[in-house]
Amino acid sequence: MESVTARIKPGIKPRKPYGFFSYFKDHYLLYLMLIPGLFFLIVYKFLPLYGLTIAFKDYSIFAGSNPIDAITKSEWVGFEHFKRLFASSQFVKVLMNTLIINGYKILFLFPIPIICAIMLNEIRHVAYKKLCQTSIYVPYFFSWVIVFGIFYSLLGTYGIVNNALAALGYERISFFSDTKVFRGLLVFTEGWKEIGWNTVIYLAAITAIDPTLYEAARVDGAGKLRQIWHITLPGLAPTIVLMLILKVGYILETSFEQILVFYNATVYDVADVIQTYVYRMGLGQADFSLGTALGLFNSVVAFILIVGANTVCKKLLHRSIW
Amino acid sequence: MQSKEKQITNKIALSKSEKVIMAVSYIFMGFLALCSILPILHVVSKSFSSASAVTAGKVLFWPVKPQFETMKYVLEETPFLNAMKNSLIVTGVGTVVSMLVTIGTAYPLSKPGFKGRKIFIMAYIVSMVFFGGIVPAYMVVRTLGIIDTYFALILPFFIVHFNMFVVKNYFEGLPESVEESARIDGASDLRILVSIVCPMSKPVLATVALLYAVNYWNNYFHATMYTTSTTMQTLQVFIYNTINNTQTLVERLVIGNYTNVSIDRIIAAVVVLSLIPIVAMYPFVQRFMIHGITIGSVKG
Amino acid sequence: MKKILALLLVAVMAMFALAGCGGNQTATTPTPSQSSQTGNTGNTSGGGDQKNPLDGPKPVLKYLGYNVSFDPNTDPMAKVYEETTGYKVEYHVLPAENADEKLLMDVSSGADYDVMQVSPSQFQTLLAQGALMPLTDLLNTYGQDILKGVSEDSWKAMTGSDGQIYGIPYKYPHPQEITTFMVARMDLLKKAGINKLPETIDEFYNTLKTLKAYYGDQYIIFTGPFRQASEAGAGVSWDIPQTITSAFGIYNDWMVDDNGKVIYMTEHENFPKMIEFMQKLMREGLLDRDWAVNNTTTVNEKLSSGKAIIACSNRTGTLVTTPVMMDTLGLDWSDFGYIGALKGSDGTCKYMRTEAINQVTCILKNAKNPEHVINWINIKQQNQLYLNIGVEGTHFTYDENGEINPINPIFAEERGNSYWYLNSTDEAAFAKQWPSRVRKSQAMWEPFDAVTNYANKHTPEIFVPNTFAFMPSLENYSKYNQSLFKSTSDFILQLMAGTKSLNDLNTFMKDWQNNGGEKVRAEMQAWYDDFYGK
Repeated sequence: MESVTARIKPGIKPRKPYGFFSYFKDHYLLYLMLIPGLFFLIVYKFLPLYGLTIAFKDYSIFAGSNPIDAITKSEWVGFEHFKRLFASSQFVKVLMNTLIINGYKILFLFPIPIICAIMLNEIRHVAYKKLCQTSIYVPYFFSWVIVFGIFYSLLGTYGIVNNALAALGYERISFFSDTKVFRGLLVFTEGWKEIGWNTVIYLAAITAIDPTLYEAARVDGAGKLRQIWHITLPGLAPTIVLMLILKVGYILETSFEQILVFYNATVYDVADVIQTYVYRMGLGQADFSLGTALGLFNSVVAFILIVGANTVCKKLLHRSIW
Repeated sequence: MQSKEKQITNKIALSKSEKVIMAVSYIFMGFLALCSILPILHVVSKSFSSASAVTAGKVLFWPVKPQFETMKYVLEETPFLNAMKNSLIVTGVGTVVSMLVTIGTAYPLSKPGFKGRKIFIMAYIVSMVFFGGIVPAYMVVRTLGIIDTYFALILPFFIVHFNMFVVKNYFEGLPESVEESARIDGASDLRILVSIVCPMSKPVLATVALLYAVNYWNNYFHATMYTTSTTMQTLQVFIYNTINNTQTLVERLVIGNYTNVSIDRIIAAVVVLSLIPIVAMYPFVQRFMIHGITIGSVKG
Repeated sequence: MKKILALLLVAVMAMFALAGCGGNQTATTPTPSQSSQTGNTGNTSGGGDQKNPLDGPKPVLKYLGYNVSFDPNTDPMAKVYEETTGYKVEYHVLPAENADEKLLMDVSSGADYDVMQVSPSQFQTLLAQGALMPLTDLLNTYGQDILKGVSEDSWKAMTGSDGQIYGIPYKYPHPQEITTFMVARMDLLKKAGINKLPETIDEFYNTLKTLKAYYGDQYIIFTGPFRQASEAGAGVSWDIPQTITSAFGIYNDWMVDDNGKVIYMTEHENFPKMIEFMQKLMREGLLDRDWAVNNTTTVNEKLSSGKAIIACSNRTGTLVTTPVMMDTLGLDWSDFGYIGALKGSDGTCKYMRTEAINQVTCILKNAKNPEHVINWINIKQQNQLYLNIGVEGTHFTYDENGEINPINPIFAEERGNSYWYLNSTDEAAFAKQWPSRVRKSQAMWEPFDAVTNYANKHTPEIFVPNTFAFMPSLENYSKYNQSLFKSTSDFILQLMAGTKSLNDLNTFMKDWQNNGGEKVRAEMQAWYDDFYGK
C-alpha cells in the first residue's frame, strides 16, 4: 500500500499541454489568492532590502532628511565593515563557537521532539496525553531572562542541585562559569524551553497519517517498532526534512538572546558567538552599519546552506522543499 | 470520530511490543512533563506564598501560606490589564488574517502544475533569509502611516514563511484524487480549497494557527519599535519594562506598605497571568488533532 | 462557503478598522488652534515684537522620557503637574531595550516631540548630529529661574562647540554619596568574635578570613558585585566594588596622574595590586564563586535568604532585603552593619564625587513650541518644593535640625514618582530637599546615614572630584567608551577567575589601544589641558 504522504517532489506533469494563458484562464483564482501574500512580500520584505546597502556604507542616520534619504547620502565604504568583522583576532574563535554550539544543539535536540511526538501519539489516555503535551509546551513562553532566573536558582553554585551535591560530599559544580560544562548548560536549557514547542509541529504531521495503514500492518503481524519505522517515520519525513534544512540553514543565527543572558566573561572562550561579540563591539554606538553587515553575512551563508541542504536531500532522499 | 477509533483498537489485542512501547511512552513523557513543569511550579508557588515562607526555603512546589497581594497589586496598580487587552486584540485579529493569507499562498504553491511555481517559491525563500534591517522596515511602517496602530503590530507577521511552508508541505501530501473528482464535478479552485482541502487539513491548520498566535503573543521587538504611546503597550513590553525597572518599583511597594510584594514575586505574578490565555489555547487546539479524516472520501 | 466568506469579510474589515486605531491620535494631527504662534524659534530680541509666543491657549506638549514601568500619563503626579503648570502633557516612554536605536530612528524620521529627556550619552549623540535646538536665548527670556538654579559648571557641560547651551541638566543632588557599599550580618560577625567593622583593606581581609575559619562552607562569606543585569548595566557597572577600589586609589575609569596625564584605570600603578588582592580573596574561598555570574537580583537573594554574610548593595538593595530579613530571619537594626569606602594600607582612600549629570532635557531643532517648553520647565522649577516634596503638614514636616521628614505613606503615594517628571532643579535647594526622599524608608536611611553621612562628617577628604564631570560631548568618547569599559570589566572578571593572568595585561592594553582607547585618551587630554589651563 502506497504511503499517502510519499509524493512530495513535484514531478507530475499536467494532463494536457498547457500554455500559460490557458492555465491562467482556468486557474485565475489561484493567482488571486497569492496577491495578499505578495503584497506583504513586496512592501515589507523586498522594499526594505534597499537597507542592505547600509552594510556597505558608513551610515549616519542623520545624514539626510530621513533615515532612507540618509542611506543615499551616506558614504560608500565597500567591504570595510566586513573586513573589520573578519580581520578581528577573535573572529575565528567566535565562528567556531557558533558552529559548535549550534551543532550540539542540532545533534542532541533535533531528534527529541520527533521521539516525543511519536510517544505522545502512543498514549491512549486522553487526559494524560493532553497534560503531558501542555506541560512540555509551557516553557516556550518564558523569556530567557526568566529562564535564567529559574535555572540559576536550580544550578547556581549555591543552588538547589549544588547544595544537594555538597551535602552528599561532592564538589560543587559551577555550571555558569565552568568552561567544561557551560555549553552543556546552553544546550540543556534550550532543550527544556523548546522541545515541547517543536513537538507540536511533528504531532500535527502524525495526525495526517492514515490509521488504516497501522491496522493493516498490525494484521500483517508487524510489531510496534516496525510500524513506527515503516509508517510513522516516512509519514513524518517531509516535515523532518523541512525542519532539518531550516535548522542547518540558520546555523549561524544562534539564540543570541539566550547566550547574552546566560554568559559572562569567564566563559567567553567557549560561548562567545558572532552575534554577542559584535554586540559588545558596538556597545553604546547604535552602529547600524556593523549590525547590517553581520546580518547580511548571516543571510548569505543561510541561503547557501539552505539551497545546498535542499539539493542534497533532493539527490539522496528525493525530497525537496520546493 | 474518537470513539470509533477506540472501538477499532480495542477490538485487536495489543501485542507485547505495543505494550512495551506504550509503557515507555507514558513514563518518558511523564518524566519530561515533570521536568518542564516543576521549575515553573516552584516559581509560581513562590509568587503566591508569604514572604517568610519563601526565605525560609519552605516553598517547593506548592504555595505555603498563600497570599494574593501580589496578584491584586499587578491587576490594579499597573498597566497590566491594558497591555493584556492590546495583546489579545493583536493576537486574535492577527492570527485570523495570517491564516487567511497563508492558506491562500500555500495552496496554489502546492499544486505541482501551477505555472510560475518555482519563481514564487524562490521569492519566498529569498525573503525568508534576507532581511533589510530595522531602519528600512521602520521607515516602511512610518511611511504607511501606521506607526502606533494595531496594524503595525500585525504587519511583521502577516506571513511567517516557515508556517507557510509547513502548510504547503501538508497540502502537497493530500491525495490528488479527491480534488480531481471535485473539479470534474465543476467546482472552482476556491470552492475546492474551502470545502475540501481545508476540512481535510484541520490538524495542520490548527497547529499553524497556534504558531501564529504564539508569534504575535510573544513579540517584543516590533512592539517597541513601532509604537510610542503608553496606551499601545503590549503584554511583553509591559513584562520587560517591569523586569528592567524593578528597583524603582520596589521603592514604591515598600513605602506603600505592600510587605508581601517583592520583585521576583511581581515578575512571577505577571508571567503567570500572561501565560493563562496562551496555555488555555493549546487544549483547544488539540481538539482539531484528529486522525486521518482524509481517507473515506475516496474509493479506489 | 458562506461562513468562510463572512469570516473573511469580518477579518478584513477588522484589520482596516484597526489600521486607524491606535495610540493617542493627537500625535499625528496637531490641532490647528494651538499653532497660533508664528513658528519662529522665539527670538524675542529687543522690545518691538508684535506677538508674544506665550499668548494664546497653551498647547499640549509632547514629552519623551526614559523607560519606567508605570504609565506617566495615568500616574497621580501627572495631574499635579498639570494643575500647577497649566500645561497638559502627553508622555511617551522609550523602550527598555534598544532605546538608543529607537531614539535615533524616531528623531531622524521627524518625530514631533516638543521636549525630550535623554541620557548624557544620547544627548551627546544628538548634539554631535546637529539635531538639537540652541536654548541660550530661550532660557534668557523664559527660563530665568532655570538659569539661576543650575550651576555654572553644569551649564558648561551642556554647551556645544558654538558656545550655545543645548540642554538643561538634571544633576544628581548628592555629590558626596557612597552609592555602593557593603552590608554585613553583624549577628554572624559577633558570633565569630568580630565586634568592629573593618575600615582598612587589611582589616577587611582579616574579617573575611576569620569568618571563613569560623563558618567554613556554611555561608558565602562575601558576595557581589552589585551589577545591573539589564542592557542599561552593560558597560557601566563596576565588577570590583568601589568601596574596595578606593583603597587602591582607583576611583574612576579615567583619572589624571600627578603629571597631569590622562590615564585609564588599567594603567594606574595600583591596578596589579588590586587584581592580586581580589585574586587572593577568590583563591582562599572568601568570595562567592559565582562572582562573574551575579547581578543585583542574585546578590539580593543570597543576602536576604541568609546565605551570605557580607554582600555588596546600594540604597535600593537594602530597601528590598532589610525588611525581608527582619521578618524572616528575626533580625533587628543592630544586626545590620554597613561598610563604606575602605582605606589602603598606606592610608589611601579615594572615592569619587558623584557630580554626574543623570539626565539632560533638550529640544529638537524643528520643534514647534520651544517657548512654551522652557516656560513650562521654569514654572516647574519655581514650584520645586511643592511638586517634589509636597505640602508642609500633609506630606512632610521640618524636624529640629531643619531637615525634611516625609510623612508616609501619603508621601510615597502622591509624590513617589515625581522624580521621573523632573527636568531641572534649583541644585542648591534640591540638595537639601532630596535627602527627605531617602528618608522615606528606614531601610534606605540607615545605610545612608551610616556610610555617607558618616564619611561626610568624619572623612570628607576621601571624596575626590571627578575631573571629567563637566566634559562636553566628545566624539570618540561617546563612540568607544562604553565598549572599552565592558572589555575592561570582562578582563577583570577573567583575571579573578584565573582564565587570564596579569601577564596578559600587555596584550589587553594593545587591544585596548587599537579599539579606540588611544583616540579617546587624546580627546580627553586635549579637553583637560584646555579646561584646566596648562
